[in-house]
Amino acid sequence: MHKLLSLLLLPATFFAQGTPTAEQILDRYIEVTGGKAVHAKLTSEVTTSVMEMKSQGLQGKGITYRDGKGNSYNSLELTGVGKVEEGFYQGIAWENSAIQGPRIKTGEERAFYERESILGKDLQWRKLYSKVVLAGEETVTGVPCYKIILTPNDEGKPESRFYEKESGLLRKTSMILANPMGEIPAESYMTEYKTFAGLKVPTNILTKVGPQDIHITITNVTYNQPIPATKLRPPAEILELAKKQNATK
Amino acid sequence: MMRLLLGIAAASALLAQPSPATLESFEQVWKTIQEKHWDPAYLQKLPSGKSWTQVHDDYRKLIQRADGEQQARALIQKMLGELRLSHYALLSGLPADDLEPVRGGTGNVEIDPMLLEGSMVVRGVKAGGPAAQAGVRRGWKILKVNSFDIQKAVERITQKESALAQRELILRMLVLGHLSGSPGSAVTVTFSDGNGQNIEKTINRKQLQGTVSQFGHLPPQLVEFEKQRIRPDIGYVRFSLFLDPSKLMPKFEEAVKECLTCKGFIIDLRGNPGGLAILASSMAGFFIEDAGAKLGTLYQRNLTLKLIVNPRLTNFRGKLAMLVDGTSVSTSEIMAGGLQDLKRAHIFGTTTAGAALPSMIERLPNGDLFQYAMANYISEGGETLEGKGVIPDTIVRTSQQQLLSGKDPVLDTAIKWVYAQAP
Repeated sequence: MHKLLSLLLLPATFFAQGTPTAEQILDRYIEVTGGKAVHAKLTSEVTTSVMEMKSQGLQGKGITYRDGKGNSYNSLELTGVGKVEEGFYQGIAWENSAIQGPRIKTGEERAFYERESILGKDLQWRKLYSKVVLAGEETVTGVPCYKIILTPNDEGKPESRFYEKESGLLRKTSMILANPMGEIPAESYMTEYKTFAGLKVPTNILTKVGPQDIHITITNVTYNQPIPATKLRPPAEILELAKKQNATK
Repeated sequence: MMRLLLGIAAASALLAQPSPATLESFEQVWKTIQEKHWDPAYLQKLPSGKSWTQVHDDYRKLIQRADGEQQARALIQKMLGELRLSHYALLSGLPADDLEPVRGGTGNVEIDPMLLEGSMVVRGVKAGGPAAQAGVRRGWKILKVNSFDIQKAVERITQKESALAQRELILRMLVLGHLSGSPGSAVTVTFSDGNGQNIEKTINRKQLQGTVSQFGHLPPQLVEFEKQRIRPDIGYVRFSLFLDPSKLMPKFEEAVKECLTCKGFIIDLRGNPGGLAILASSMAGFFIEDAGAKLGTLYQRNLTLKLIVNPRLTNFRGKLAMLVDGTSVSTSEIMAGGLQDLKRAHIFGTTTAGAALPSMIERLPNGDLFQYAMANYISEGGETLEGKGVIPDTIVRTSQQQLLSGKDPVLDTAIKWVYAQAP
C-alpha cells in the first residue's frame, strides 16, 4: 500500500521538482548571472554599446550611466540623425533629441523608465513587481524556456520574460512600450552572455519593434566606478521644461 | 571556329539572364510587401483586379526569361507599379531611360525650375548665384541644358505620366539633375525670354551651400536651408529636404526664435520632396502650444503610431503660412496637411503631390536599394493624402507673365494674408 501510494505520488513529486515557481526562476537568474552578493554590491554601472538597424543601414554608438540612487542617463549617437538622449534624474524622466526636442515623460512611460533606471533592478523584482506568474514553457529560438509574466507595482503594463530552462539565463522579453505615439509592442532576444566584473550580461540583443529589427551589441560594462554628477544631470532645457510643467499643474 | 562562336554565344546568353542575386532580390521585394503592407485586403485585390500572389507568379515567369539584369530590374519596377501607390521603388542607380533624373554633382547654377503652362520655367534665381550673375531672369523658359532637350522631355513625360503633380516633380528633378555637375564646371543652357527670343548662357556651376546628410542607405544628399526676413515683420524659411536633423533643426529653431515677435512666419515647401516624417511633427512643435496635438496617424499592419507634436519651450504665436505645389511631397505634405487640419497654418499654392506614405529603404541581395511604404498615413482630418494631396486653403496659380515681372504670386498672396489677418 505504502509502495502504491509512493508510485501514485511520484509524478507529482517529479512535477514539483521539475517545474520551479516564478519566484525561484527569478532568483535563479540572480544566482546564474553572478549571485546576490555581487548584485547587491553594485554602486554604479557604465555600459557602452553599438546599435545597428541593418536593413536600413543605420548605425549608432551608445553609452548608459546608472548610479545607485535610481538616476540614469542614456545617449545614442545615430548616424544621420544625431544625438538622442534620455534619462531619469531626481524623479524626472526625460528625453531630448534633434528630432523631437526636449520632452518630459509621464504616466506609464515614466514608470517604465524609472524601473529601468534602477541599478541591479533584477535583484529588486520583489519590490518592483506586485505579481509574478509562471505562464508555462515556450521555445525561444530553439531553446526551451520558462515564461514568466511580471506585473509592475506601478501603472505599467505586465511584461513577459523567458528564462532558459537549462541555464537559467534570460533569453527574451516581450512588452508593450508606452509612448506618446502609441502603445508599441517590443520583443527583445538576448544571447552571448559575457562576464564583466563577476556579472554575466547579454551582449547581443535583438529588439523587434514594428517592422524594424534593432541589433545592440554591448561592448563594455564597468561597475562601481564613480560617475561624475554632470553625466547624469539633464540638459538645462529639460530642467526648465520640468519647472514649467510643474508650475502649470 | 564554329564551336568557339557557339560557345561564346552560349556564354553571352547565360550572362544575359538575371543573376541568382537578382532573382533573390525579386523574391525579397515581393515578400516584404506581402508581409509588411498595412492592409492584407488590398493585396488580395489590387487596382488591376489581380492579387499580389498572382502578380508574383506572373512576374516570376517574366523575370526568369528576362534578357539580363537591366530588364529584370525594369520588371521588378513594373511589378511595384501594380500596387499603384507612392514610395515603392527600386533604386538601382542605373537610370532606366534618359527621363530618369540623375544628380551630376554638388555644383549647380542656383535656379529654381517649375513646370508652367507646358514648359519648364525659371521660378526663382538665387541672388548673387551663378545664374543671377549670368543674367538669367525669373520667368524665362528652359529649353535645353547642354544638348538635352528639356522641352521634348516635357512632352515625353506628359505622355508617360498622367498626374500633373508627378509630372511637376519628375521634371523639376530632371532639370536640376541636368544642371548639376562638378563645382566649377560649365553648363550651357538655352533659355527663351519673355519675347520668345532664345538666349544661350554658359554658366559655371557653384558648390551648393548646405550640409551633407548621410542617412541609412540613402546616397549622400545636400540639405540646403534658407532663412530671411521677407518683410521686417515676416520670417521666411525654405529647406531642400527633411533630413540631417542635428543640423537642420537648430537652424529652423533659430529662424523661429529670431522672429518670435513677427506678425507672420512663412514656410516654403515648394520643391521639397520630403525626408524623415517625424521632422514634420518636430517642426510643428514650434507653432503648437498645447500637448496632445497630432499631425495624423500612421497605420502599420499591427501597429498604430500617432504623429504627436511635442510643443517646444518657445513657440511662435503669430500667423503661419505654408507654400506648396506639386513638388511638395511626402513629409512636406504631412506637415502642411497636418497643420492645416489643426487650423494652425494657412496653405497657399497648388495641390501637393499626393505621395504621402512613410517609407523605408533596404538593400537587396543584388546591391540595389528597395524603397517601400511601411504604413498608411491618415491625416488628423481623417483623410488619406495618398493620391489626393493637400488642397491649399487659398489656391494660387502662377503665370509666366507674373514671373517675368519679378513676382512670386504664391509668396505675395501669403504676405498679404499675414497682414490682413495679423492684428
